[in-house]
Amino acid sequence: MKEIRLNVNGTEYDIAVRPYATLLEVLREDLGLIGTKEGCGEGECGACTVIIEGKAANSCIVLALEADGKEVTTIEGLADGGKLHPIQEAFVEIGGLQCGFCTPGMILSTKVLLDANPNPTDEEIKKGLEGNFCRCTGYTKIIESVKVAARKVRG
Amino acid sequence: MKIYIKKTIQIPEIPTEVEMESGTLRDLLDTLLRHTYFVKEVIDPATGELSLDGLFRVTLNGTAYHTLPDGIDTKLHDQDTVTLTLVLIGGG
Amino acid sequence: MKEYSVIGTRVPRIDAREKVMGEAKYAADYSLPGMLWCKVARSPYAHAKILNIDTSKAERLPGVKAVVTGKDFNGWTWGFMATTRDEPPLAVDKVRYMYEGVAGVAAIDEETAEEACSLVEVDYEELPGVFDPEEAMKEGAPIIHAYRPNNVSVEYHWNFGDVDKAFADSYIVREDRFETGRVVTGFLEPPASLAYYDPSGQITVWAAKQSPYFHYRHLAGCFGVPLSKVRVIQPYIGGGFGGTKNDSVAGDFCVVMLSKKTGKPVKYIYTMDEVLTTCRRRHNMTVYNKMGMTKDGILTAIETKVIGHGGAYTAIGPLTMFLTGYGTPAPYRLPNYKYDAWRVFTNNPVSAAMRGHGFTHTRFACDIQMAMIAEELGIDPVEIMMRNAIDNPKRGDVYRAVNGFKLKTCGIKEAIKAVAEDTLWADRKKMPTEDGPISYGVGISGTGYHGGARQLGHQACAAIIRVCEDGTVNLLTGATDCGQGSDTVLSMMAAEELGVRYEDISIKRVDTAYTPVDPGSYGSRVTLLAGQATQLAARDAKKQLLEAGAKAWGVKPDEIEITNGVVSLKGNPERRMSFEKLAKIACYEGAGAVILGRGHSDYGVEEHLDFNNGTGEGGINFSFTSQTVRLGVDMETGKLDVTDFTIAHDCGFPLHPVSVESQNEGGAVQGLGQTIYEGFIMENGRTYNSTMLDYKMPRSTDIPTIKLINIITDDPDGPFGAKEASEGSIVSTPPAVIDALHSATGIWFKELPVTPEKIVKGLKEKGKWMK
Repeated sequence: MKEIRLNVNGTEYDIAVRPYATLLEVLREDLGLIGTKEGCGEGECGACTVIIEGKAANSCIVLALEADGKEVTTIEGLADGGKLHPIQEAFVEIGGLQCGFCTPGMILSTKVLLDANPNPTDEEIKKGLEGNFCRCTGYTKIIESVKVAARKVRG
Repeated sequence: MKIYIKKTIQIPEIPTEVEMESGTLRDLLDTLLRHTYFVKEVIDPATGELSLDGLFRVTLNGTAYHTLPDGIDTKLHDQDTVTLTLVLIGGG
Repeated sequence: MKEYSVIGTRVPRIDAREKVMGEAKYAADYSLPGMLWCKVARSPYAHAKILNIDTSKAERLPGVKAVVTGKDFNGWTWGFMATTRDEPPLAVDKVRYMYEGVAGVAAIDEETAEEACSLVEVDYEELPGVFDPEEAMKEGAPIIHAYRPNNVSVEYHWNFGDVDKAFADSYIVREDRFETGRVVTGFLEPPASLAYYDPSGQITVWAAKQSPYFHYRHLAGCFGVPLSKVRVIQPYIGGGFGGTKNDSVAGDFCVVMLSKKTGKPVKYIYTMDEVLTTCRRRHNMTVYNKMGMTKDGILTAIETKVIGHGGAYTAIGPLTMFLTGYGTPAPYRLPNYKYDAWRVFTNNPVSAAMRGHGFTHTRFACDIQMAMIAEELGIDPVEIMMRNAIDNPKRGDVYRAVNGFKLKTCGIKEAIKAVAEDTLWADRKKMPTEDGPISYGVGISGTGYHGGARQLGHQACAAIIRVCEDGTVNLLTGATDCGQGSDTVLSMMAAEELGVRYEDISIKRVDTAYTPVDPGSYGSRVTLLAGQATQLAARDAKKQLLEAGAKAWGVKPDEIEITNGVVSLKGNPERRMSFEKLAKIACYEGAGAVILGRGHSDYGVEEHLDFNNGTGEGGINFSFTSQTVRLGVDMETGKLDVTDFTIAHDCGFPLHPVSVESQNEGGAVQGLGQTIYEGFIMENGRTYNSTMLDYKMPRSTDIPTIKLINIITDDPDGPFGAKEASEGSIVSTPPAVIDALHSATGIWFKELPVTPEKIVKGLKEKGKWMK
């Protein structure tokens, strides 16, 4: 077992992890943060997307050890108590979700996209979300949600 | 006597007509069902008797058998038609 | 047009908040103290006898608490129809497809369980396998199930009218062979279940099931536990689309059996690899279609022969083959129709239901053949569709198809007209058709799909409305929202009927201990059947409230109305009170009362299905969809760029426009995936592309711009005039894409998926390949 310190959503956790444990496993099983989902388990579908030091990452292929001492944001870290983040508000308003399984990952990828590019074109949005698979919506309302989110974030 | 058998689903094990000397609806169903692939679905494990409720609807010449005065023990006659309709229940 | 307070408005999804916050819990998110993890050991052979299973090494591995094998289930088998229950929870005497489950292990963690699986020693006697249905039907082929020595799972032979005479009298007759692809639902959430077998004899599971009551019956039958002691609790579900989550999988039975053995809760979560190799797939089918027309392009007859690739077990296959033939007489008038179908066992994963069940295969073939004949006859494609399309019956009239199903509304002509007048089709000749190596084309289709599935013994459902003392409302049904949005729509219906606001309704997810039985989410039935039950339950509750209000005001109940949470006298709207006040009066007057509304769906079965003859009513009404597609083909690489869809969908009346749009968009993109990208690469029963990298499903960068048009026909049989809005666009997309491909390349592609390789091959054969 290895001792690591994880900073997740602004809270520090000192935990012992197996050296081969993935960040996804540790978030879900050790920290009880079940908002991050496992879809494919091999870094292809984006359901496990988290933000590590400002970059989107597939937590199912990141070792927990690699996240030692780094700032990690999961979906649970976006809302402010009961107040939704503008991106979350946009997804609710437009209906950019159906079953919701891809949604946490989709929203975090959206955050990374908008942090870097506050006024993306449709093509840039599609490209920015390419790593997040959705089977339900056909992506159309997701892209609309991101456009509305961009407007809300820009204020 | 010749008895016709109609089915609404495909059951290759059950013919479209049978020849019987004499007998009741129970005798016929017993003969037809006890030798099918799905016999374990239609036999009550506790009694060893045919148990069709919730599985098959059986009509004799268009009438549901349980409404007949002798029910499943109704005597059959030449040219009678027995219709087996499977009750489809997902997960049943 | 009727004006509603809630119905037809763009309210947010009722579960959106939990989902965007990551608070929605799916099956894999549940845990219980002392929980063990389950993994399934699987066969490396596609067809083999099991001579012996030795679990001793696995049992001795530290951390392993129990191991189960097929024998533990005492010969219990399951399957959709009582006559073909040929599937065991774990293989017993033989395995029939590669990776079929042979043992289940419960251990302290997943890694230990997986390691234990590799220690389960199975003596197999490999048997020759058969993987092609036409081979499987031949004399001497390996027999997969002893009870079907010719490997034919089911076969149907239907005959309506006189096709031979009709063909003889036709001006033109075409015969073509089509193939639909080996594809899968593609839900993102793998099947999972947490089970607890209580020593007192109660089973509780949190399972990802879009038909929880099917699973509840399976568990009762498998474990000999009365239904009243089986509790299936429905978490949020990460996508369904039919098939797997309407059924049970090996893991489901293993966790309950392992919990029984260990006395602990046990959980399994399938990997995506397990999903893509062992879970249910859509039937892939070979369709031999023969179509006859007059010189004016009027349909005279269709004769369809279908071979359904069934895979290793029967499952819901008999219904699939019924539905494959059932829908052909719509949306175009068809006077003569012959259907011969065989579902054949092969040593491949099991084929079952999927969105667009059955219809997708034959509508694909028929729509394309109609376009082919239009080309040969020199008739405009829209013109030929309009000449044959069924007219929207006048209110009170009924159109009867040649195989007996009835239509009271049919918006196909309006739908075709809408897409034909839309710029994508109307201005297609003005748009660029070439851009360097890219050749653009526009295609069109017109299809129908039935909704409100109902079969004998299978379709009853009910709803309960509980009015709380503070005027808020709980809705309980057994109907399952697997992501399609039914919870939202049912809540809207309850609010509309009661006269309260949408925000006042709280819908409870299915828990078989408390919610009334419901077949679940398939066949586009929830909005229609559970919707009707919800309406009736709301009316029942409202009646009780109005009686209390009538007493309080000294008036008759029918003099009072409730709208938007306000209770008022119809004759004197000044006399009013809040819904909350009325609820308090109803609940607290005298000794108090509990306001419970009960509603049962009463659609009944008009004509039950006759699988052998092809008659009967499979649903309540039909939706109709017409679609255009614009795409560009790279004439050198065969790569496709699908730019635009326009979809006109007749769903009767869009109850929740946001959901209708999302369903149409999602269905179309899923249909696009199955037309040009998706396909399992199989050899001797092995799936070679069992990862999301290699089984390619559409991403955000693959989608066209989608324009949607609602066609409103207000069906008298659907609640608030509704018809289905879940499956129409997955049926309309493939033929429209193929038509667009033909428009761009001049080639008719008849085998799905149409990959770049197939396009280049086709271009080379026609001398059109651009080097």
